[in-house]
Formats: sequence, structure tokens, C-alpha cells
Amino acid sequence: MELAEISAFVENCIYDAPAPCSGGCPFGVDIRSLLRKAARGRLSAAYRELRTATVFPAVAAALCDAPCMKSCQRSLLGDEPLDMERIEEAIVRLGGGQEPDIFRIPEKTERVAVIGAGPAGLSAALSMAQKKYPVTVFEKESGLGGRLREHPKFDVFREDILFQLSKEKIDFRFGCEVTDLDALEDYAVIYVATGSGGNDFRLRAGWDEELYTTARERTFMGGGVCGIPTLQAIAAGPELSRLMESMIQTGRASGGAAKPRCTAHNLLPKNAQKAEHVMPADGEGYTKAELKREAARCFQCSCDKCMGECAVLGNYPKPPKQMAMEILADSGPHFLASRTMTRQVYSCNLCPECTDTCPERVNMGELFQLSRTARADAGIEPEAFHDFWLRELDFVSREGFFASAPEGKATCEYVFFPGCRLTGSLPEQTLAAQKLLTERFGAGTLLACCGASAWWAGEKALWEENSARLRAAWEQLGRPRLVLACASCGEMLTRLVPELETVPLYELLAGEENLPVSSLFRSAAIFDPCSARGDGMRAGVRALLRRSGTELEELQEQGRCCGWGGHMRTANPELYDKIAEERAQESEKPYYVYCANCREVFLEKGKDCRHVLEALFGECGQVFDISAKHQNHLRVKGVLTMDMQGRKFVPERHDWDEIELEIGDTVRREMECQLISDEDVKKCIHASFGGERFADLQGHFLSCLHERVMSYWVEYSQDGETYTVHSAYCHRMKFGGEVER
Amino acid sequence: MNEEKSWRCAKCGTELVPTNVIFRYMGRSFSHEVPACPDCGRVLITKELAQGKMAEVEALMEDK
Repeated sequence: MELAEISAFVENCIYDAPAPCSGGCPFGVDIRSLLRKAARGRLSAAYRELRTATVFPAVAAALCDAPCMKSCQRSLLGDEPLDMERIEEAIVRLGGGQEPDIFRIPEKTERVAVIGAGPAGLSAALSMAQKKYPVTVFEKESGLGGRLREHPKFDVFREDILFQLSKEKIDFRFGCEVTDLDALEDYAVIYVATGSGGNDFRLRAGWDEELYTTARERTFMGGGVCGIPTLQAIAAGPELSRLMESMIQTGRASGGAAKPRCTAHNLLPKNAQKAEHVMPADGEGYTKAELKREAARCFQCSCDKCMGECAVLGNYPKPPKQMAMEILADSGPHFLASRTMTRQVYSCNLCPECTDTCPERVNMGELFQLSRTARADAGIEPEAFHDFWLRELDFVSREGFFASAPEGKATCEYVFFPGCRLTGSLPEQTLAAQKLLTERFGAGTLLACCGASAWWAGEKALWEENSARLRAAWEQLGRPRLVLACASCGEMLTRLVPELETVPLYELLAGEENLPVSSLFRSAAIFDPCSARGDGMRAGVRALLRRSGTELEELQEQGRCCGWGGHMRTANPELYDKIAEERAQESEKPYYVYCANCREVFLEKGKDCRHVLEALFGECGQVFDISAKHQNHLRVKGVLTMDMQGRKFVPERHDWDEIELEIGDTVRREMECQLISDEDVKKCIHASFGGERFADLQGHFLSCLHERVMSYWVEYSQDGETYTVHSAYCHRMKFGGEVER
Repeated sequence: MNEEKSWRCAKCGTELVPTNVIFRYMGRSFSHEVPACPDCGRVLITKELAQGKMAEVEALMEDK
């Protein structure tokens, strides 16, 4: 993982960007911060903030027509925007009067010439003087102010300007017109700010509007002579002082601070309430109490939508840019890596909710995925988080794999791709769907995994191997269109084997006449899986369910992950439970789902729900355990092998298959919870047949099996051919090797 | 299964004795006293240990 690669993911994040109002401010005032201070009654602090940004706050307060108000998010509610004109005036009036800051830094020797004592020249002169450069201001008139002198409030402006200049030594030469810049050769830099219609010393042609430089060496130009309006001319002062100092120190004008990008997005908080515009009782200006009330109407707009919407990001609330840097530091085998992000990286459902929520479509899931891949490449991934799922992938990809055109054909135009879970969870419905597809579309079958397990584990070699297997089968079947039952398969195949053309099963079925759909509920909500976005799958499901006559409810938030995605369950079981329970409660009505995983997650959480295929092909009525799902898958493969190839499929036999288990409900639940299969238990018992086990006085045995990264323990008793399982548990830690006596 | 059970090594017929055993996970290792057969060295991890302290330490190491 490289810094540039990581930074690119989050560069558009607007979490710390100025609020929309600041985008319109000629001074770039952090209005959110200003109003926060004002709302708390910290008027001196508010004044200082205003003065730092505007240089001459009384001038700014009087001249600024508050373009910020046009971007105020309150307007989106139908409210009056924050009354920034009155607020600014009140801050200057009530919080002003404090002595300007004194900057205790070493005096410089390089002299600075400013030509013109108008707003542009004065602002730049003050900023350079604050950096302790000796500044001389040449003004052809007899006093300062330039174009401000014509303003009716000039007396107020003059007072403010003199007050802000009062702590700095500036050499003003009034009545001194500069006609030849060569006469200023003793000065390290020159700033031409001669005002509108003033002498531009023929420098305008080579003027750089970003850097304020001219074709003449060490000579800057700005303000009215360049057509810059008054407020912008004042606002340029601090930036010019940085550029002039850069010129003095390095001979080049550079290093200007990049202006933060303000957002124009709707940042209105989720539960924003209307609040009435505060009018001053005297009709003139705010009292302190009125100012506080008006400033308190500010929403303090900032974007934390991803943390507000995504349960995972909300569980680890950190600004995305900070998170990206921590992921970078955390994803390699560096001995200094904190590993503080590990749990979070593997807790992500890898659904696109953060992206859909983000106004800039920042994709934190992709970043987590990148980290998973980097960790797997470096061999530092917590293997136990994905062990079970990779074993499932292995099962479906090897023993469970089957690809065939319909009977008597070598190729087909369509092939049903039920995905790795549907065959185990809803075997009869899978077979019924296959039968219909074969009859009406001449569809073959492809029992395989899309590779999601390998992708989510970050195991590149595994997903490439799986993709190659899929590609080969697809070629052999004559490049048919894949009919997908699972939205995740759609997303994964688009990513991993993009040349495969796919069509959602439900879209295809929705186009079929004479296909009755049962009404399993009088009224139900549709829970869309997180991967079904922007394709025909959602529409197809709705079209089918409408035929059933069931009253359908659309959830307020659609396409949120049920909790299954990304295999969060093994990495963060508590968060998985929380998310699954929240999703189950998004409607009081039962759910129609069209993802086998959503179905199981909700049924396990006690939520009444059915898969759409149950409305088409009959209800299943149960959640199969891990081993039963394997048996179901192999049975589906067996039926299809006979139907399509006229031969019998004989599943592999193992020594431990002969073991008959008796498992009570409590132990079964514990096994499912820990993802322990009957096969794990049988292998564990079988491994103890040589006597490698413990025994107690009640005739119970305890045996252990080390399988890949897990260790399984089974307590059992034997009664004839039957083994009763009293307990099964597992752990990830390895032990032994060096036993110290 | 509870901790009080008196497991014996079925192969050696011996009572188990507390033994220091090395545990390894996520590139780290440490020792902890668990029951083991004094003759063949077979180690027993109880359910309480696996689902209690061991699970806690596993989570800590995954977070490190």
C-alpha cells in the first residue's frame, strides 16, 4: 500500500472542509467557528477570529454584503438564513476594542515597498509588518484609505485601520508619488497597489493573478489597479505577505496555502428543526443575548454522514482521512504498526452504504478491502476470521462444483448460477428454478462460487484461481449468459470476471407469463440485499411480488447490509448481532428477501421472512445447519448430474462419514454459533480412535482436532454405533510444541 | 463440561497434572499452566478456558 494510493481514496472527503457558507466568503472566514464562539457568548474570541481573517474587521463588516447567507443550509428548511450582516456588525461592536496581537518574532532587515495606501496596500503592509519586515508605504495623496475615502463611513474605517496598524511600525510617505520603480532598488520586494486607474508601471501584461507576481523581478501587483474588488483586495493581504516572504527567502513566489475546498452539498443534519430568525428589538443591532440566540441557529454544518449512516463507521467514529492514514500504517508487516485498525478493517460489510451516503462518494469499503489484500499478501491477516468461509469456498469449488449444458447439448445460451449459498439453504427452490429455466430458456447449470469469500478475505491467489475455473466452465458451455440468483455474485463477477454477461434470475422470471406467485404474507416489506443496486434485480423482484397480491412496503433505507457481508460475523460477532437486529427491526412487517444469507440472518434473529423463490416454488420452512447445507448442495448436484448428463453423482466418502452423531438442540445451537460442522465433529472423534483422547469416570471422552488454523474439541460418549455429542468448542490459538515440565 | 471433571489421559491412563504449555497466536507466544498428561504430554483445553480467557487473549492479539 502506497501513500498516494491510500490518499486517493479519501481526497474528496469533506469531513474537515469548510461549511458551504465559507465557500462564498471573500475572506474565507471559518463562519462555523465564528458562530460557535458567538453562540457561546465568547465575543472577544469571535472578534479576534474575524480580525485574523478580515484584517480590518469594521471595514469588512460594513462593506460585506454577506454572500455566505446564500449558502446557509437553513434556507433548505425554508428558514431565513443566519443574519450574518447583523451578526458581524454586533461582533465588531460588542467584541471589538481589543488591542491588536503583538507578534514577538525577530526583526527582519529586508525592506518592503508598498505603493498605495488604499485597502490593498494597507492590508499587505500590515501583514508584512506583523512579520517584522521594515515596510515603507508610498502614497501620492495626503492620507491613507484610497478608494475607502469616498465611503460615508470612512471615519469609522479610518479609526479601525489606524487601530489595527497601531502595534506595528510602518513608514508612511504621504504625498510621495512613485513614478519609476527603479528608484526603489533598495527594497527587497515591491508591491504595486495603486488602486483603480492607478499607475501599473506597464506591468499588467505579465501579471499572475494567482501569485500576484509581475514580469518585473521581485515586484508584485494587486488591488484595484488589477480590477480586484475592495474586500478581495484586503483579503489578499495575508496571502501576499506569504508570497513576498517566500520571494525574499527563496527568490521565488511559492508556497501559498492551498485554499480548502468548500462543499456545496446539502449538509443539513438528519433531524434538523426550523428556528425563527432573531430580529433586534431596537431594529438596529443585536444585543449580546440576541446575538447569541441568532448565532445558535447555526447547524454547525459538517459532513459526518458516513459515520451517521454506516453502523461500522459509526462504531469506530474517526474522520476518513485519519482512518486512511492509520490503515496505511497498519496494513504492512512494519514492527511499529499499531494494529489498531485490524478489527475495523475486518468488521466492514464491504457493502456500498458509505459510498451511497457520501456526497462525494468516498468508498471506505474499498479502502478496507485494499487493507485486507495487503495484509493477506504480507501474511499478517487474522486467518481465523475467514477460515470457515474459505473452507466453504473450497467445498463448492471442488466437490460441489458442477457445470453442464442441458441434456443432449454441449452448449447453452443461458446457465443458472445459483451461487454458493442458495443450493444449501433452499435446495428444492433451486431445483425448481433450474427446471423452469431449463424448460423455458434451455438453461444449463453452473454450481460454483463467485469468489466473494476469497475477495473478502483478501486472498488474491484464491480468487484468481476461482475466476479461472469459472471462465473455463463458461467457455466450455459456449459463453452463455449467467442467470444470477444472488446480488453479491453479480457484484463480484462484474469485478472479478467482467467478461461474463449476467442477467438477474428475477428479471428473467418477471418477464415470464403463466408463472404464479403465492402470497405468503398479507403484507410485507422488501429487504433489498446490499449488492442489489441499480440493476434489474430490484425491479424484477418487485414485479414478481406484485403478482402475489401481497401488500408491499418499501423500507425507508434500502440496500443496507443485513450484517453478513464481508464476513464480519467472525471478526466482530457483537457488532454483527447489533447490525442484524437493527436491520430486522426496520419494519414491523415480515420481510421478503432475495438473498439466501439475508434470509438466514433474519430467521436466526427471529424475524419472519421468506425468500422470493419460496413465493414462486414453495416454502422451505427451516434453516439448515452447516452440514445439512453441504448435503443439500451435493443432492442438488446429484439431481442435476442425472437430469443433464444421465449419470449418477457419487459424493466422496471419508473414513469419518460412517460415524453416526446424536446432537441435542443446545449443542447444535452452540456448534452453529461457532461455525462447527458435523464433519468437524466427526473428524475430531475419528482422530481419537487411536486412543488419543481424554476419558472421565462417566464414560465421556474428549478429543481434539487441529484443522488449518482452528482447534476443535468434542466431548462425546458412545452407545453402540451412535456417538452422542455433549459439547463442541473451538479456539484459534495453537498450543504445545514445547511443553515445559 | 465443567472444570471439576477428572479427566484422565485415555491412552496412558494417567491423571492430568498442571503443566506449563506454550501458546502461540498471531506471531506471539506465551506460556500458561493447563492440565496435561505427565507421561505423553497430551494437553487438555477446557471449554471454560477456550471460551473464556483464551478467547479474550485471541481478541487482544487480533487487535494488536
